[in-house]
Amino acid sequence: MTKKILKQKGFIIGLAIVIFFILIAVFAPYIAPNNPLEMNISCKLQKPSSQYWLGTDNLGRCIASRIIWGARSTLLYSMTVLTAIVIVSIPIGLISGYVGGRTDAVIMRVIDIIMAIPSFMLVLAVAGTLGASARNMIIAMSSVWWAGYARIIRGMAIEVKQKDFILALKSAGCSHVKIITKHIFKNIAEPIIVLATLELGSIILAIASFSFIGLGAQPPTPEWGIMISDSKDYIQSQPQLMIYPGIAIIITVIGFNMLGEGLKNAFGRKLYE
Amino acid sequence: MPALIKALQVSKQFEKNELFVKNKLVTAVNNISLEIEKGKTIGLIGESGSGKSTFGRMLCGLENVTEGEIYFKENSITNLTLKKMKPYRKNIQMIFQSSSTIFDTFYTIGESLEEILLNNETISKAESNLRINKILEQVGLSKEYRNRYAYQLSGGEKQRVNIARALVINPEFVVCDEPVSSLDFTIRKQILNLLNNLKNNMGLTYLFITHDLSTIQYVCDSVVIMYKGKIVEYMDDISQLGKIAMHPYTSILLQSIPTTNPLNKKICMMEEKQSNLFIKKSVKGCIFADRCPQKEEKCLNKEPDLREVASGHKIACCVY
Repeated sequence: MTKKILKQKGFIIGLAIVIFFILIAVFAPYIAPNNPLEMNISCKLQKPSSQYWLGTDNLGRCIASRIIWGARSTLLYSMTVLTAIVIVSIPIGLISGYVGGRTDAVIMRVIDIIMAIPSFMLVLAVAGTLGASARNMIIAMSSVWWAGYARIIRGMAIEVKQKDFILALKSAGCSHVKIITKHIFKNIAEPIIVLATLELGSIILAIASFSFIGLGAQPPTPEWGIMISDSKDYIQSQPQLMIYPGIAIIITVIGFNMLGEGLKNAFGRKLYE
Repeated sequence: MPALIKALQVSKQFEKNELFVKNKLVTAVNNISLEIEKGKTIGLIGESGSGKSTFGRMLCGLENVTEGEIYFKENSITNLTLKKMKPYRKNIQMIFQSSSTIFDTFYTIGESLEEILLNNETISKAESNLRINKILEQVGLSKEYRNRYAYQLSGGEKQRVNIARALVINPEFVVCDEPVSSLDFTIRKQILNLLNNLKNNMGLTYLFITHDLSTIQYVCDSVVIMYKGKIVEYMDDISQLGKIAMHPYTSILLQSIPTTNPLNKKICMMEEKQSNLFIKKSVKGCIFADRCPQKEEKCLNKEPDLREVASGHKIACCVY
């Protein structure tokens, strides 16, 4: 298995990008050359220099430091959303798939309703009523995105449930709870990890987009989406202000996608057996 | 002697949901009564789709019964929930048909066996270790197999572990669902010998489900022939099989065993009309009538009951 994973160049590159991203996020205070919030109007819109690695923005803040701290908030937000999604969707999906019948029908209809709401609309509604903030964006995103997950997990649970060994486990005296937690969950854990990795890329992208339109994290938080949004007035004179955070988003998303694809290929035989 | 396990007029119907056609019922097992005495082995024979595996699973409480009752030592175990069935599980076990798919591939053989033991008995870990080593030894595997995964075993080894799985908690009654049909002939004999030895050593009672008449004389005391969910013939003494009067279906089954003597080989099997294998509940008359070579007018009108034609020999046929 390990050999199969390490043979893939895409996986290695993805893993390197993701590790690099996580290290930067974790050690941001030590890596960043300047305070990301410190404004220095006298040296605004500067070219890259030894003090400002990537120059400064329209308020004289260090772009490099803001991107480095932005990695931290991106990692925090995306991981929170992912954890919330996974914690909610796994038990619901497992129960829906394993119990079946009326329980399954009810849960699936609820999921259908939730999936019919675009997450964008819900974030807009939550921002309108509770105010736009990173916390509200996370709540709104998690409350919509778990549904799709739960549906996928339900499908996998149904598939495992129909296998012969479940009947053998019943014959062996396992309770339903034990079958679900010890056996079905273990059987679908690998595909869930792959899915989560692949999903992290789109979560990061969504967080950046919500911040860009002003529904997510609020300025002056160093966040990639906000940075692009803040610098949109300078797109003609100082395009680098948008390009740097844009590149950061692209590389991170591609990194997670490559990692996820690599895992999918490595587990592939098991996933689609 | 009271029966160890008893099925009373058991039926099983599966709902077949098709688009626009609601609740189409398929009868897999149709009104079967069977008593199994302790220490005896009954062979349950029938072609695929005749409901024999379903019947076996119902006896083990793994499938709900549509009609009828199942008793284990005079206690009804019909349609119990998983929780209520648990005390009986210790004594009713099943050797499943496909040994390759009945193991959770994420657990080793030892872990799987340990789980079964700890589920059903309150024993210490050390004691369960000893028991697992003992049962592995009994089925002819060394204790190193404990740390292997099911996909690391060969077909015969898997079948042995499958047997160990069923017998590790010392059940009284074991349903063997085609235990040798997926094995080649040399291993087949080993496994049958193993089952016989275990039966003698542990005082087991088997229901031996198979479609293969050539193996049953080796292990069974009595024989039940099933066709389309019904018992068509019951014989208390298996040595009489093929010698005394029998149901036309049984004779077709017997003729389909390939002979080992090349001089006796038949150029072709008895010609048979293609029959509809689906069971229609509304059909009047004998279920076997459309395939029966000895069919008469009365077969199409009257449904034959299982009646005793000689001592210990029951048959469901209008002709006899």
